[in-house]
Amino acid sequence: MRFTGPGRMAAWVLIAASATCAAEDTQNFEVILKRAQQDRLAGRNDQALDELRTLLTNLSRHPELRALALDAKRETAACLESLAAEQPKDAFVQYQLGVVYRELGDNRRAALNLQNAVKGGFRNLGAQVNLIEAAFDSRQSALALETAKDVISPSLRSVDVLLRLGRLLFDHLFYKEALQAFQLAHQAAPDAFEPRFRMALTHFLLKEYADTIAALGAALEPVRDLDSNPEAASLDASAEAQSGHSDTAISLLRRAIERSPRSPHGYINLALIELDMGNTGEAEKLLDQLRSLPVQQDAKVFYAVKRNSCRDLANNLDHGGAPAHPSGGAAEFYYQLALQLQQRFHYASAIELLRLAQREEGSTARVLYVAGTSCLNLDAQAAEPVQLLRAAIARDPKFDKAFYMLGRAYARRGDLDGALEAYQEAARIHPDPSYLVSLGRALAKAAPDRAMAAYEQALALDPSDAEAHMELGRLLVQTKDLSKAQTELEKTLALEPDYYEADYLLGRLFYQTGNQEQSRAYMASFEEKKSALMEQSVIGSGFIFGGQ
Amino acid sequence: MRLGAIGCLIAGLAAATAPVLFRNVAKESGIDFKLVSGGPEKHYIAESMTGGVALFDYNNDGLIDIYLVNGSTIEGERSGNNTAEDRLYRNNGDGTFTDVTHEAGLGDRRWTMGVAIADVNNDGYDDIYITNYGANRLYLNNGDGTFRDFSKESHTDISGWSSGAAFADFDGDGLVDLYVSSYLDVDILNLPKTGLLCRYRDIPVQCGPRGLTPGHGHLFKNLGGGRFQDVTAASGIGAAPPSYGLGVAWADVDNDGRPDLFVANDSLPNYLFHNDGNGKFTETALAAGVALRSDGREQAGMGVDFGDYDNDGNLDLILTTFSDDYKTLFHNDGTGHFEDVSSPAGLVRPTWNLLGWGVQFVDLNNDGYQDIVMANGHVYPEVDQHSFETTYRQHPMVLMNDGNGHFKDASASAGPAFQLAESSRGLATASLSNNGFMDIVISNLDAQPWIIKNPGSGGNWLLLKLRGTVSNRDAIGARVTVKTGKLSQLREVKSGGSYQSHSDFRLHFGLAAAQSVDEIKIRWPSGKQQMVKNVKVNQILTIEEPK
Repeated sequence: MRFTGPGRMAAWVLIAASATCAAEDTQNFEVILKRAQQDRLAGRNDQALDELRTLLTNLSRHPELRALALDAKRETAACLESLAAEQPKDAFVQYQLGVVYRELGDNRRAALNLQNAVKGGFRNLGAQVNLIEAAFDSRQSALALETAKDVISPSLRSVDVLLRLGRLLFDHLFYKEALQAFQLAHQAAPDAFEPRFRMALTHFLLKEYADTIAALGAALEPVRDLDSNPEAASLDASAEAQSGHSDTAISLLRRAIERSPRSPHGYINLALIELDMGNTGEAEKLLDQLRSLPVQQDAKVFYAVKRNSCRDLANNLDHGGAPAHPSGGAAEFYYQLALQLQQRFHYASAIELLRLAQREEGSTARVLYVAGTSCLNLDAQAAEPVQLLRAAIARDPKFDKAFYMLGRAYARRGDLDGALEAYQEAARIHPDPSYLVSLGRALAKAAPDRAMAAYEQALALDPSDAEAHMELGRLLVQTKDLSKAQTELEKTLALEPDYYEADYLLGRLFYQTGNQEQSRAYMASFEEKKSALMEQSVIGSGFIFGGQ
Repeated sequence: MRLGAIGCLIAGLAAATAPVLFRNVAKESGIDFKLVSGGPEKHYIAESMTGGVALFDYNNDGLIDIYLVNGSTIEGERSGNNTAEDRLYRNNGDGTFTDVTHEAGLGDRRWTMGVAIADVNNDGYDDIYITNYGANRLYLNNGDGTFRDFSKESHTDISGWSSGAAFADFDGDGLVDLYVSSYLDVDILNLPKTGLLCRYRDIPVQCGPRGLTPGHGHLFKNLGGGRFQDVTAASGIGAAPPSYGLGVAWADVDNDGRPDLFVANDSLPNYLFHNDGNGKFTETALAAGVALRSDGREQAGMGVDFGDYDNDGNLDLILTTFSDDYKTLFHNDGTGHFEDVSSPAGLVRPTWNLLGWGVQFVDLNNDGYQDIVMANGHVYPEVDQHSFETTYRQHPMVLMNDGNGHFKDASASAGPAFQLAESSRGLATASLSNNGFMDIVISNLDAQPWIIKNPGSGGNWLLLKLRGTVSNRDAIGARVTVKTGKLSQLREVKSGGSYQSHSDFRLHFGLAAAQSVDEIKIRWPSGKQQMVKNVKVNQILTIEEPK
């Protein structure tokens, strides 16, 4: 859906069309585009825009002329840029520019123009929603969040918009703000299912289990009608289980499975509850049933195992040989499921599945690696992560990822020598940019030259690695090469605007060079972004990722 | 190179490597004191935070006395019937101390957190300021071995939860002013208890400070006669948001002649209030590089000290923090800009598992390079029931300076005192026997303090007592540089610091094998400069500010 405001421009609505375009028509379109360009160059921007508008409307019926349509949009952008240069305070021009850049996929520019439009007074819903989307798409989460906070209010009554914003915020881990959007959507449409379900799901992720059940209770009326939605029923049951009402949860899930035997949600959540209670046999039966379903990959995991079985798993390291990467059967299923759980931050649950995999295929390198990474995320200070990752390496001495995660584990325990050794080995086996960046970080204070070499190697492999630019910038600040440091840190922000550490270092850099105004600006940006992203970072980036 | 200089070099090296064996002499000292602080389970955060220690000469007999704060219990607060008193112990000069608390008119029974010392009315006798949960107290020294409670009249008797305190003359008027940090704005009779809400590595523990309302520090300007005025807002210090303030220290970080103020914040960025002159301050910690550790993360700042560990003429900063984190050493480049050098300095691994509180830069072996000594102890007794690689009771730590910007953990070989383990808090240093070797006093929750005697094997020394005339009497803020051969050492006279504690005002210099001091340069707080040349080593020298 596109949003337009009052004024000169009509809506640009894409209409799917199946008509093919005759060569003659194509030639005509090209002539119109050229004419529009000439009008722009002659300063007749309004005329050019009118021509382009008509052209784009016609081109929308010819999806095969996509390339020409893109050219037309670029030309439109050029016209609008000229207009903006002439009328810098025209918020509506800024808005149109923002929309065009969105269509062209340049979300950074789109966000900038839309922000100008909103600041300039063009505060209609379309501009703000487009700004939020552009900001998220260009990794400016702090900007997106701040704008969303302005938009989401009781005066916003459009359920579609509220749900759309809520989903965006939810996907970016801003659960509190997402909940607000869903609650308002529910108020605007009390009988609609989706707002209720989304509210319930968000409450669940915020560990507000009583609210989850309350929200779902109404959604599943008359009396928790499980037939209607096994996913919702699984969420309901999981909330009961997380609140300590395991019997209720088990009963609800068994009923859900009985009534929707082809739905995967009940099986996986019940299996996890059984594992948490130590009923391995029961859990295995359920997982077997899940395995037989064609849509097992769509299983929605809600329940999070509470017990930490890292020690048990580490104590069961067998000393016998096992193939480094076996395949097939239950072991493979358990392992893949564990991997998926880990990727969804369900670390304790992943460990339970890995214990099953360990029973089936032994303490293989891959099991130990995923276990080590999951345990590291559960408790970075514990001894088990190091133990498990070292065991993985013992079984596969060329396991570069395991060496890398071992380095992370050592670093989190303050053992910088151990971290350095592990990173060096990881990079020696496979010079991956992230290994090289971590290696550089470990070398930075003691051997800055070697650190510099590691960062440069990382950037040679991937020039768009924001973390490498960031760490190189930090190193250059340390070695007092402030001009180059500034360049690297600015590149970091260009690649990843949310990387507030770069703002922090730029703030310090400008303080050192005596530019107090710039220093203050960057420090303010650092504090603003950090504050906005604090909730997201607590949930998301505190985790140490791994996985195959 | 001349033989004499080589001799100095070799002797210096020998001094640096000779083991120094410390003993706890608390029993022999006659001090019978137990730091009361809630119950053993520590269900509430209030039960974990007391423990200030002050070492100062209250009766001007040339011997350093000991003041120990005492806490309370939740039940005691509830009933209004706390029997645990702060105590003052007079140094008898023979290794023993006498409890003179009541004789001196002291014995505060509130839940005391910390203590700071200064001669607030410039009458030549040091006064005592204590921070409480509840109204703080200022005890003015009558000069006859007794004190009088001047709290109300001084207008420094603020309520709430005060933590660290430190004096300095921020406006250069010859009167010491006072900063008091505040930890929480809560009613300790209504704190959340250990339960399901608050967890540390997934075990239920006491709550806080995160989630509880942070406190607001106060800056008091000395008006003379022991009276103060709250200038928090007017000075610009009030502009900083409330925080979980703990350790407080003043130091001139940018060598502009004015004392700046550092506040260690628990779980939040630290504050560095730059003294702009004209009674104004600007908070600059982020830009200066001391708000956060080097990777931009906040730490749980507890205790703090300034000292020039590398003898480059600039005051560096040491900060103690929580366990599973390193204790942070910030190097000052002279412009008030700091770099986190904890890793190259060798602090990361040895300090990682310890939860640090009181801390001081102090030259323990008199080799001319300041070492670091820390008091440690956890806040959660529950950690002992799990294999967490940390413990509730922890040993103090001594990090010896190798003279090249690196520190080595020498705790294991530093003698029996460093093998003891308690949940320690405050720490202060002084040469209690006036032998020129620095002793350490550490307070321990629910236990006796440690009086850690320095056995005195090491180099030559100098103790300097400064007496201000135009400047404040204690010369707080005076900057002294002592030169012996190629070695140049910097100290500033300070009040407060560490963790809610106060160390002897006298400046201690370890001189290694130097046979005389070439030059002592003093920059008084008044701005006056003074030079004294060719000073004998191994003495306590008093220098008065020229009028």
